[in-house]
Amino acid sequence: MAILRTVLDRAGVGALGVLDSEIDVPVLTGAQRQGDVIVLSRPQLAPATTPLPASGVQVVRAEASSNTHTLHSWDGTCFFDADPTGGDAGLTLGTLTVPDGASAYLVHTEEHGANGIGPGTYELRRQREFAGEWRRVAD
Amino acid sequence: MPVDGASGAERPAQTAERVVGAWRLIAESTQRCDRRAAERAVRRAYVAVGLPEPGVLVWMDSPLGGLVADLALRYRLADRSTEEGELLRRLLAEFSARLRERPAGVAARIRADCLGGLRAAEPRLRVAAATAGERVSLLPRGDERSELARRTGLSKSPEASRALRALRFWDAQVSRRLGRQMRGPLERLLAQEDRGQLFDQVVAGFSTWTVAHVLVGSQLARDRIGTPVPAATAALGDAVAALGWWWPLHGASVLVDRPTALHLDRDQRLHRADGPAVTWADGWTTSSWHGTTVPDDLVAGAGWDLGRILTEPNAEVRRCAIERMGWARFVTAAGMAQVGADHPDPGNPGKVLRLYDLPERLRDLYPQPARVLLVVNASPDRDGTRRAFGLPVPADVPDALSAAAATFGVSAAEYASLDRAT
Repeated sequence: MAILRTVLDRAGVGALGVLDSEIDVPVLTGAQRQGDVIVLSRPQLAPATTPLPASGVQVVRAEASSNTHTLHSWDGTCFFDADPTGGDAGLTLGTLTVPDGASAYLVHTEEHGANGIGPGTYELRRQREFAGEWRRVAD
Repeated sequence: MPVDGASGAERPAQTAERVVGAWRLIAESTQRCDRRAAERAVRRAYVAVGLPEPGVLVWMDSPLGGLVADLALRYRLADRSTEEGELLRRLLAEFSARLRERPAGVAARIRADCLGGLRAAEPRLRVAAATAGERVSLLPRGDERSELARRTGLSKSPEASRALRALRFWDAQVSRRLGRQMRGPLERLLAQEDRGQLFDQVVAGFSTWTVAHVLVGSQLARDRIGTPVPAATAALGDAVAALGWWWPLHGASVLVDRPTALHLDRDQRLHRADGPAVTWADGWTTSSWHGTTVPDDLVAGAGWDLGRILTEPNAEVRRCAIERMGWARFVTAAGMAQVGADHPDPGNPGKVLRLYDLPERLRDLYPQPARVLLVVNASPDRDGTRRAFGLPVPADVPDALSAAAATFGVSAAEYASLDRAT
């Protein structure tokens, strides 16, 4: 487990405003949400095979705001297969696999801080909203 | 460099804040540029990286003007028989068409400034070297920059790094607005895969805002760890401090004067509730709501009415419009009736999910019946407040929890199992 400041430093994000940067970021294996991105445990999925680069990978890039979510490996290399098709619901961002002994951090560049993710395979999804038909939440 | 070195007695954090503070003053300046001094500094910056002095300097009054002049200058200097020459021609044509859709004053000013600048430069353009018009890079490389930031411990000073982030953020907001102006012309011209690269080339201008953090890093390195500021970086610093925006090319540069008005919120984000956050002398403006780029009419006069708000496709922009109206007022104005009880927001202690029915007169806003889910962020904004969002959901969701689950396409049971939300 790392404190928020350390996670943000390594992600190159810098200090946040009012969030206490000395708090621990819990590393969890259950479902978590970071703003409009959700991390869901999916042990039945085939593990991801694309190593996360040292600089991390951007999973959401905002259009109008500074809403950016990035994934970073910690204590080992994690894997993330981006899914440009969006999967069945059009919401899937990709599959994340965190090997035993490693962890991954999902980092938000603005207000949402960081979420620690323990060993396992996960689906990352984007939020959607309904305007006659479902569409991804645009920001 | 506009700031002198620190005395040895100062604490590192104080040094960082003082240096950042000095750059902030420059970045927030709305004074006219001293154009003669700026041109001298620009020429020195070229020489410092081993390039010949640019023979042609064209001044424009806004970043949009700068972008157009940069395109026109590159097209003028390009070999028109090449693919790039042809692309520039088409891009410029699309852009001119796009400019004609702008408010008459702005478009006319930009067109006149651009034509005037090129006409004045024509004798020198005619004798320009063959390489003229190609992009040049005057910025230190990214890895050098992050190495400097690490060595100077810049990221350890929350005040300084926040101020620096704000500077980069301002730049991103104006760039984004430029990007929107570019999207149409680019999409008409390019296959999807080419867009990113060309886009980067076209929006290659940079500003005091963009590079201040680079220069701060360099300056702190000199003050705190004794690393001399490279001559090229020092010269770049002098030039950007004297300018607004800048598009450097081989043999030529497009220089942009500073904005005439700039408004910030207390978190130093571009923000103005009753007009554009940034205005330039040719009339180009950019509007921002607490750092989110918004259409000009959202912050003009009475702002958006209910109907306009609810049909806005971008959730951030819609939120800004609703925030300007106020969520409480919005829910009342829209006559929204709550469906069921408050439901605790899973993973977000103390916050609740609320589901509302759209009022009768707004039932036709969407082609299918919808309700609105009111959610509150799990983390505070930089100003300490929690943002509240309204998300439309299908009208057949029975309660607030199911509505939240449906926005992620998961079951209510799985959504209820969230361990943590941030």
